[in-house]
Amino acid sequence: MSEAKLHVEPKGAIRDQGWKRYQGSYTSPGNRWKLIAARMLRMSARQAWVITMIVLCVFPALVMAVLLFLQSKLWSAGIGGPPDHYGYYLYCKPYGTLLIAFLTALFAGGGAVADDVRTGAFQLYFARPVTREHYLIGKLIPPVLLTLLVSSGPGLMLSVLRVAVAKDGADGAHAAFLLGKAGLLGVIEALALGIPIVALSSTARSRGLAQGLYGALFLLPWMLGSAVADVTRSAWPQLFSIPHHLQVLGRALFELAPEPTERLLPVWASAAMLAIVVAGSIALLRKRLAAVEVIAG
Amino acid sequence: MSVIETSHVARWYGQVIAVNDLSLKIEKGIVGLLGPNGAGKSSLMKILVGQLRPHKGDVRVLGEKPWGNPPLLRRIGWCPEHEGNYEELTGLEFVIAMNRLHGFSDAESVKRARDMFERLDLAGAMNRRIGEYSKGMRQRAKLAQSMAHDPEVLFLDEPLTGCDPLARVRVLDVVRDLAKRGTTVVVSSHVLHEIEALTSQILLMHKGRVIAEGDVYAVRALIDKHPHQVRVECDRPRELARALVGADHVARVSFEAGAVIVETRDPDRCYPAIPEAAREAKVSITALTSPDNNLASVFKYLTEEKPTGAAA
Repeated sequence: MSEAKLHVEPKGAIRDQGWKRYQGSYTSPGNRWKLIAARMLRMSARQAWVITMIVLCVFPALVMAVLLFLQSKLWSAGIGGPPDHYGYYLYCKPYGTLLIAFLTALFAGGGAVADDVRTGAFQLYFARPVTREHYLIGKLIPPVLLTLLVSSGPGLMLSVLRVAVAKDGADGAHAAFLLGKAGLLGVIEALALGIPIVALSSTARSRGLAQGLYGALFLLPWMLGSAVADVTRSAWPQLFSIPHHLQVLGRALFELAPEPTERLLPVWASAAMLAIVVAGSIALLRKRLAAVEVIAG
Repeated sequence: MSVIETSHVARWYGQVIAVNDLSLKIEKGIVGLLGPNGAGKSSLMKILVGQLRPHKGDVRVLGEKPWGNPPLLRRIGWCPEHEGNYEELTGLEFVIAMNRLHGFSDAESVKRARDMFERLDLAGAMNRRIGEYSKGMRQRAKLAQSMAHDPEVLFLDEPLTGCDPLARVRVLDVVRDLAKRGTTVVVSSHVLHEIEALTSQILLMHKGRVIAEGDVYAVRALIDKHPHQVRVECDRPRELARALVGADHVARVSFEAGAVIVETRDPDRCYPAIPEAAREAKVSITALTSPDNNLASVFKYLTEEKPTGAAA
């Protein structure tokens, strides 16, 4: 068998007509992630389930808009308090948009990386001057944006209504402040729900597996944590429940006191846990992508 | 400086070695990478385009390491064997999207994509969805994306798979044209004649190693040097064997049901002699085949343990 040390020199005549490097300008490297994000956004927004979730999120908002309007009328008549807590209920309760936002993230982000692995799209992306960071940002943005649309859209709509039904100028300024809080809670929810699903997608071989894993990680700590918290009369069993942390932050932002039966973790603990979830997901994604190789396909 | 240079490169998947201590230098021109499925061709190509990290050794393409080097990829074209998921896009949109990822402006991306579709004779279908393309059309769309940015080095992994004869001619013309303009082309295939149509310079790979290299005609000659089998199906195999066995170009004869297997080191003389012997012995031949007149037999010949005295 011949030794694998080779020197292959073409023997035929090569009529080198002089390869010339492209002399024009290139777009900014930052443009790459926009291209990846735009394509994924188009594909995600075409999914029937994502469209369904976007449509569904309008209904709780409409019901709460009616309640907010009625409450504002009662308040004007001197009955009850101002309608200031709509944001909490809309964002953080299962009958609000919380579950719809979770499902939007699930459907929009489940295939973010897993689909590319399965279909061999990596081999085309990474045959171009696209860095792993460009790819990561491009893949994170669409699920976060779509989740933000579902989590913040209705909340902002209610906030505008709240401003519109303000009693006076001072109440109007207060209502405008609530609008900012609603926007902030929406962003937190979109990040906490949209980023982990993309990280899970990078670890799974299929979209379904990523979605199943995400569903389990979101729902089980929520249900079990709540049940164990009731039994133990301690809030700490809910440490791994993302919905619980959103409720804690929601109550804090909208200055809503806990109900007597509710056991809530300290705000700092919930804020830290959500930060860990988001940062950990990004770190996991970076690690997975840094090592990504195109082995099959 | 060589365009491509590897030094003791190795890559394995678990217990399976895909590329085994491979050192080579490739200069400007077209080089064919030949080998059966599983020989390590695709793994080597993926290492060269930076999609696989070598576990051992050094790789240089255009003087730079390809792994983790996105700027180098602007100078490289890659047509993978398998397809990505772009079914929902038209062929033109697909190539434009890939051009934009290279950093070309929208106008330049469109111009280059249209030009490639014209050159690959696919302009009539460029506005159809890739999902509606035939295998050969998909292959050409994939080729278009690999060439549209005018790379210095082009890697084509089984580029003619699924192409009809006309499309093959077109693709080969485009590749030759690129090479004439100075692009270095590394093309892999497991079909010898596909490579022969492009270049005479080949690397033969087997089990992750290069087992032969150089001029394609020298490799072809190997087929004729080693004992060559001809299977003759006929009504009276023993009569035919008796007529052939005295000829000096016949090394050995053996029998299978309804057939005689003739081994020869001189196929050029043996092939015409068989019908002649059959005519004289009044034997009726129903089929005449050569089980090893192909690339697989060369690989088998180069890689298998050979009996004492066999030509190396």
